[in-house]
Amino acid sequence: MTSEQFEAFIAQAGVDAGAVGAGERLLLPEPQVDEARTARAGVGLVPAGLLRVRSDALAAAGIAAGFDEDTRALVLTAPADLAFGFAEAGQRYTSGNAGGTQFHVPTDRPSAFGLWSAAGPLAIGSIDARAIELRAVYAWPAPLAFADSGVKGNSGVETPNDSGVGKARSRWEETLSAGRVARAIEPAASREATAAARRWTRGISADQRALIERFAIVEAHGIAARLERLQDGLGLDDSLDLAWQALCWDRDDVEGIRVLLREAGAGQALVSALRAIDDAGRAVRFSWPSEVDVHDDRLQLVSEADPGAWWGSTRRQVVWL
Amino acid sequence: MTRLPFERAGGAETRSPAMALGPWCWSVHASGAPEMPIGVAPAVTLRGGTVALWALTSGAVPSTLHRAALGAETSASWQAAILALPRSLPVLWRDLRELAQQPPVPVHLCSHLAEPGIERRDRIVDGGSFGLAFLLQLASRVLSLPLPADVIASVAIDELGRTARVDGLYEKLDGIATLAPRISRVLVAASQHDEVRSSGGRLQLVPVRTAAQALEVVFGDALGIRLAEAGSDDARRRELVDAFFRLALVGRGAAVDWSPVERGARIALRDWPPAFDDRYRLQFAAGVAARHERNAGEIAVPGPAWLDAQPAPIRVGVLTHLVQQCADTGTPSPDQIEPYAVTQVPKDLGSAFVPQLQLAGALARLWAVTGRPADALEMQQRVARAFVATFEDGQVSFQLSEWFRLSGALGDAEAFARAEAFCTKLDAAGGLSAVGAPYVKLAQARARIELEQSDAQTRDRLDALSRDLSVPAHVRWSACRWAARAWRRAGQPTLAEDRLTAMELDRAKAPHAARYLLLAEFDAAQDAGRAAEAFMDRLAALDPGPLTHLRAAYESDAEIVRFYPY
Repeated sequence: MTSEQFEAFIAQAGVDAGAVGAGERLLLPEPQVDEARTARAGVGLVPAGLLRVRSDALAAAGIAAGFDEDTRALVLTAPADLAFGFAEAGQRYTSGNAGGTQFHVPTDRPSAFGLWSAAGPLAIGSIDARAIELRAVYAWPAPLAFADSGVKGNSGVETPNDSGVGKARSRWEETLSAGRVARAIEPAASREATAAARRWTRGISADQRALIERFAIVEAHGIAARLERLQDGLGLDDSLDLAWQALCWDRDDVEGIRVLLREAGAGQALVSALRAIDDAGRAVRFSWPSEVDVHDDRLQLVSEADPGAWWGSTRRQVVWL
Repeated sequence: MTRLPFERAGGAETRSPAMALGPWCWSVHASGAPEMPIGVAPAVTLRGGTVALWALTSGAVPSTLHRAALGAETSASWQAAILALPRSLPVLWRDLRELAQQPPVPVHLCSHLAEPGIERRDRIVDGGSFGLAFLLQLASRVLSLPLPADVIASVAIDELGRTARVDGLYEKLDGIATLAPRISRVLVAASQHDEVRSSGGRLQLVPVRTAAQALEVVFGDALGIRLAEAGSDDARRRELVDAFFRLALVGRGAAVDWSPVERGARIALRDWPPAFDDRYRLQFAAGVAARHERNAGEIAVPGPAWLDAQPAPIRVGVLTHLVQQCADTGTPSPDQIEPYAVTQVPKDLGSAFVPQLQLAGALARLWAVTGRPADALEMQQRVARAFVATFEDGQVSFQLSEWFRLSGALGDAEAFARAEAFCTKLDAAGGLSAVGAPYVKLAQARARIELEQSDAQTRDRLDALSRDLSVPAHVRWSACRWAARAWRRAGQPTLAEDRLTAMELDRAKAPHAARYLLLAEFDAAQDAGRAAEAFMDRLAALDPGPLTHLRAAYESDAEIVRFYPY
């Protein structure tokens, strides 16, 4: 994405540069040279299924992607409850066209585009001859800097560059941090900072809260999938204790967002999404192998603050409320 | 409700037709997963950041599934698998020719992206990492046994069934762990196991040195059961006994790993109905296999009636193995076998056929460990010359190695000079085989050291041999031992110590390592003018056969080690 395209987008979206996440470049599949010469005849019919695309930027916004080799188009899909819209650079976006669940983005010509929900922008992308570049957009203001709390509220401002590698914390990570402060489980945070964090979501718009909630729901879906994989015996590339610790921390991060939204009287959809996940989490925790110890300061704090939380230290019994 | 990794998009549960090919990617909790079919093996590839799982199948494939063609290197792996399978199974169950004509088709099951990107879905798969998977798929068809559902292989193999490392194994393990909940064991090359040992996560990494070992891991008791079942059919049983016997007669090079041959023959001996001829031939195969594998095994000497009933080449071949068995394992005893064996070798070796020359070489090998080294040296020279005279140059490396070794051990500089002249002439004519050359080079170098003719070139040659991964491990280890001795005698004890340290650090990786470490320890003690503690008992425990002969023939430890063939 050129700097002009980037500037035009943030102007149109009304966000600061820090709201745009790190870029990722997905190399377009090249025709396989030998295949053109030798393989087709021997291979027979090739099904028209989509190629898998992994985009962490789109996944954060709840949008799945595939690649149609025949039409060389990026196919973007989302479930109905995470509907979104597509607008090419320069096109005016309206909330009325954000109700789609599938879009085909041709990759055979250079372009730039934005993906939007009814509440605001979700991601931006651009296509050149070799790759697709994608960035998540967290279109809400940075949480308070909590300067007096000892917690660093990094603005996350990042200048787009060719490498697309962002080093600063993203707006989303800052928001998660604010959630931890709001829940008073950030050891360095003062009482004033906790109060400020809880007030923060009241000062932003309903659309901005809706965007935060959307990203949190997607995160919650990710936790659900990981719980499911854990139950399936999948993905335990690290040892079970490390996998469970990471899962618990992530669930706790979402809990922080729930608290932030609750303080502004919002977040009902997130609460609903978490209900089923917590049932699954409790089920796993109920049959947790006693010999696997998952404990650290943070999980200890979780257990103390919320004895019913399944994502607390395994050294503490979960109190079934 | 159970969802699978590539079915999660959109939250709707759909089931890919590829899932019907095997149970690997099904949740462990899901019901309705297909049974493992015969002739289907899973395999894994890495291209760019995409790890893909494939089913290798020779059956009909629905046209809607994505299939790949085999690239040049993968086709070569398939050919290697065809050659390696008969060398890795105790006996073949079905004619391979028909099965080998049509290579299996890789059918795409699912993909995993380790980092952001777009899946690379190959229409041609290339590389060597399908080697062992091909062999397992072929074995499944040959044996009519399905593979276990929890195993996948990512190992290259050569035509002898030796395993080799593959590229991108870390990423492949990550992909397997993510995509295939029912896979819990991954076969990896033994040479690569150390570097990925801690990367398995939930997967158990099983190191395999040979294809035979992999077959044992994968099929386990099923191979034995299938073999035992075969004994109920008279014609089939006779065919399999022939196969065991033939394999044993062919020689050490016929298999990389002889342990399955020994096991198979013992199962047949235990479970098949007794018939004298069958039983003897199976005992013979089991004994020969045990000798090839670990210098052990016993073979009874058949009566003259049995021997006389065999065609002459078979009779001489059996006697050759019995003499070798006697030299290497101590049984049968020399007086049981030698008198009859000697009668089968013409006095004039110029009139001998190849099997008779091989028997003469085996007798010389026995003499070398039973106190008759000068006779052995004389005979090995005659046999070597006779092989070359009959244009059987490829057979001569053992005789030439012994010629060098014994001339060194006996301090016979003239015999050594004759061996060098013979070797130079042979080498110039291209007669020294690639397989035999390292043995000859090693024997030549050690003779130089024993004759006090060692020079910088000898030491460099030994160092090079000790590092050459293309030569058998025991040759490398022996070279390392002799290099240490040569450097010590050249007044470079530090360099000698370096070689010993290298051996000590690598001892866990090599079979027979203990033997060479022990000999190196003895050399060091001898050069320092002291005795190695309890040396002979320790060596005898490692290699009882030759040591029984040598201890009977010689009194001093130094003499025993001097004539010890390793």
